[in-house]
Amino acid sequence: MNSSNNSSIFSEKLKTVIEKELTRYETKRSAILPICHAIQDECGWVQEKHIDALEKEYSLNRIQVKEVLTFYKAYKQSEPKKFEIEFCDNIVCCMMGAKDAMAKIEELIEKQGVNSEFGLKGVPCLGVCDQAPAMLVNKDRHHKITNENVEKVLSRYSSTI
Amino acid sequence: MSETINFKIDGQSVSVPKGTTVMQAAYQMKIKIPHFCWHPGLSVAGVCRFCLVKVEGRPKLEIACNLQASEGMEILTDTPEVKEAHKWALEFHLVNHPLDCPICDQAGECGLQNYYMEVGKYQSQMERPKVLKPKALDVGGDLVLDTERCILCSRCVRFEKEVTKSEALGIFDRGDHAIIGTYPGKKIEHKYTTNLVDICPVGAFTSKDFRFKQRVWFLKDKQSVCPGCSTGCSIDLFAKEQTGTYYRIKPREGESNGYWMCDTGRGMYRHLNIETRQRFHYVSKNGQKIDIDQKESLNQLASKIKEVGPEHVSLLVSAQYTNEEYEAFFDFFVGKLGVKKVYQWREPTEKLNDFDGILLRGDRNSNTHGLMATLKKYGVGNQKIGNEFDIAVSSAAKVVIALVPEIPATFPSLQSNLQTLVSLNFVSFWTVNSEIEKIKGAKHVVPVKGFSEKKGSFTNHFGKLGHLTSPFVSVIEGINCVASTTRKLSEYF
Ligand code: SF4
Ligand code: SF4
Ligand code: FES
Repeated sequence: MNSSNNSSIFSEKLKTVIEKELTRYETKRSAILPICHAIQDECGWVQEKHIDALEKEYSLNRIQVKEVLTFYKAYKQSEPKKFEIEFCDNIVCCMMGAKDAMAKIEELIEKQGVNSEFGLKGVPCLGVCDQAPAMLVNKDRHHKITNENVEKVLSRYSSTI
Repeated sequence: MSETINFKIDGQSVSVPKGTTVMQAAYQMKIKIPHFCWHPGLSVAGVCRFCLVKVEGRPKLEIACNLQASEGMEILTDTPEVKEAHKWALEFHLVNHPLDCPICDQAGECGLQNYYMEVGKYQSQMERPKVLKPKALDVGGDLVLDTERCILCSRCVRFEKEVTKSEALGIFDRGDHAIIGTYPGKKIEHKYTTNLVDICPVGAFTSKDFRFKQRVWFLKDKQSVCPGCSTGCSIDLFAKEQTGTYYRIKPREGESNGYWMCDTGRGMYRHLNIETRQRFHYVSKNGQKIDIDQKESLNQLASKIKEVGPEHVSLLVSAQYTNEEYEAFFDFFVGKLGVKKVYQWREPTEKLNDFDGILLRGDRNSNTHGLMATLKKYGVGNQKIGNEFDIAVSSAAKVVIALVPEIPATFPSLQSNLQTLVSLNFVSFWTVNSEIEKIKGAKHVVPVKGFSEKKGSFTNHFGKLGHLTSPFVSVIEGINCVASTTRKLSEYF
């Protein structure tokens, strides 16, 4: 619509979100969180070029953006694979066998040669300790994962490759 | 609205304006409350949890840096409970600290070391291995960063944000993996970097210029004033007294500079070292340099002045000497002898009115205003600040007494100016540095003391006096300042 700003790398939709978030809080800094979420939702991950553009177009300080991105594990700073497994490695999940299950996942990925499609990382608490161990595959949540049932859960994804 | 609050710290009563924190009050009262993240020149962060104190009548200990004093409050800083808290706070700071004091340049002036000696001294209780992080990073300017030693007090982050406004540092990641740093691939670029070395309470930031040159406990520090520009920051000058070797400069809390100083000022010790100093009086005869003693030197100068008469003498004066030196110099030459031709010697490329918005000024002389005031008092010279070097050269005086700028680093045209002067009839160079030795044939050279070796004062940009109070002894034998050299010279008249 407004063509004066069409050199932006952000889509019109994203620009609308960013501008709205920037006016929502007392300080611009507070808007970094929802803005990065919006970017990640649309682009898959937050890239250097996005940080550059946030600084140039919206005067958001790049140091502060980076602080936020590195503080929260939920932000992705490298290109996500087709399936990103985020396994909770905090205390309750670990007590219930998270480490074993993660080792099993690694083994499976290796064995099936699906390294380029599957990524695995440990993340902080997913908020379902009563269903531990828990993991996310992209946006799907899975509970009570053990090294016995994990292969079956993952086959749902690997069969689509 | 300046309501006053009365309260007590360790039984001592104090009145402070409303809004004052317990830490600020204690700082003014010189009561020591251990702290890492608080700094008088920065905002409150409250992250190190080291400044815990007891508030009478309240169940839990509270942090002094973020605790506003209120009427009737009674603070205790030295109870067993408080000490126990300090011990634990320290223990947590040391969990991942590498304890590489033997190779750490901060050793001897490290907050962690000092507090450990005061409140620590116990066996470590941790069984887990330490988290390892990057070391010896060049992050720009004068800085080397060891992220393992960092205790995450955030002072440096706040300095970048609040003082230089460059926001070049951040804390990335979190928990015990949290790490201090610049944006990946970027460096700190401003001219105030060494302040980070000063405010970092541990050895995370160290100075490229100073590190590994000396253990700090071998150095003596004396109060002084930075001669690097007309701001005149209050400083401490560090030297090894036995050898007269100067090593570094740090800012001292002062009216003109607050708590900081610029990186240019940090270098103002270099010209004081013996390698670059004028050490002997000499004259040149038929292109040959002949060292002479002070008596002979001043005697010859006196004869020369008498021979040509004061009306053929001119004074070429730079603005890097003290008020007391100008007073003695003009009192004799203008007041007693009646010399009339007085010229200012200034850097022709200077941008007098430049100011970087923090401290550094375009007037790179320590005492422009003191010189102007003295000129005015004696009613000589041009009454406006300006370089009169060319006029002095073309005025064809038979004898020129030149007070050579002390600091070559702040006077880029010094060499070419000296070249010009050497070709004149008879110039007597009174100089701190030995730049003149690079040119053959100077007719008469008199060594004088540098700013660290004399008492006196500079008048800064705001007209405020900065006092040189505690001089180091010069390792150059028999050297005098301009004032006593003048007095000695006057004995021959
Ligand atoms: S580098 Fe030094 S000043 Fe900065 S947060 Fe770490 S300990 Fe504090
Ligand atoms: S601002 Fe001027 S006086 Fe202060 S440290 Fe820098 S050069 Fe020295
Ligand atoms: S000095 Fe108060 S919390 Fe650090």
